[in-house]
Amino acid sequence: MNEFLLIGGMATVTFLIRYPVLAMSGRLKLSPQILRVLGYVPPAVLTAIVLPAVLMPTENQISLSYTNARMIGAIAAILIGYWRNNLLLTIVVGMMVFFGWQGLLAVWVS
Amino acid sequence: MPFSLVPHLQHLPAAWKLPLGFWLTDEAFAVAIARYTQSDRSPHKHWYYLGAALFMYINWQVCTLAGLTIGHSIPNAASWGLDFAMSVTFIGMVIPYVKNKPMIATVIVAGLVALLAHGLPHQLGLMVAAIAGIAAGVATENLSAH
Repeated sequence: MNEFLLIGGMATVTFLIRYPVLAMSGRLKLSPQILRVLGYVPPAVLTAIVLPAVLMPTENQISLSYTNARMIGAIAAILIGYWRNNLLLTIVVGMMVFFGWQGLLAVWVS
Repeated sequence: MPFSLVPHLQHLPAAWKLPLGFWLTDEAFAVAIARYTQSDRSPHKHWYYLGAALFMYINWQVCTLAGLTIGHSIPNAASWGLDFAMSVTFIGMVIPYVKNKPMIATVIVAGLVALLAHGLPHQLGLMVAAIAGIAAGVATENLSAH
């Protein structure tokens, strides 16, 4: 029973921090300046999620070494993304390079 | 995040805003905003958002169930690094934005601050980094306009 209360509580909190802005949005008039600022939200948020995930494989420690397979995979993804501008290809190549590099490291290190 | 969806969702009735708000995850936001910022003026983009969010939600539930039931039979699946798929996806989504100086400033500042502020509690580092990145972009745009 406790688990259900916990999950229900988390669902409620999750919803309450998201919905109010949308609920009021019909009455919001957004000025051109605000729309201009909002244009920067997606790249800022996505970059802020990705960089720590890629460069901090162990908590709170930045790793710029070739032993960080995530960094190598991310570099490959950036290069292929710029070159081809194809999201699916970026994902597939990034993952393949990441897994390949991880495999190579496993062979080298052992 | 909800704020940057406001201009796209404000015309929808509450019956739409309720589910779309409930399923507003980082990933759903990324996919939805990418569709909303495409130049075509389709009036049905909220269907795309709903489809993406629903698929992610169902996929999440099914995979959680699979993890609970048969997860033990797969040796240390958690160490494979499948979470990296999210990173490469987001990288692929950021690239189309990075076309001018303000956006370059946004991405550099948001990334650096995210690394520096990562230790902050309650994911505050993400908020701080995003705000710093947005401020850097707006400031760069203002500077180059004058």
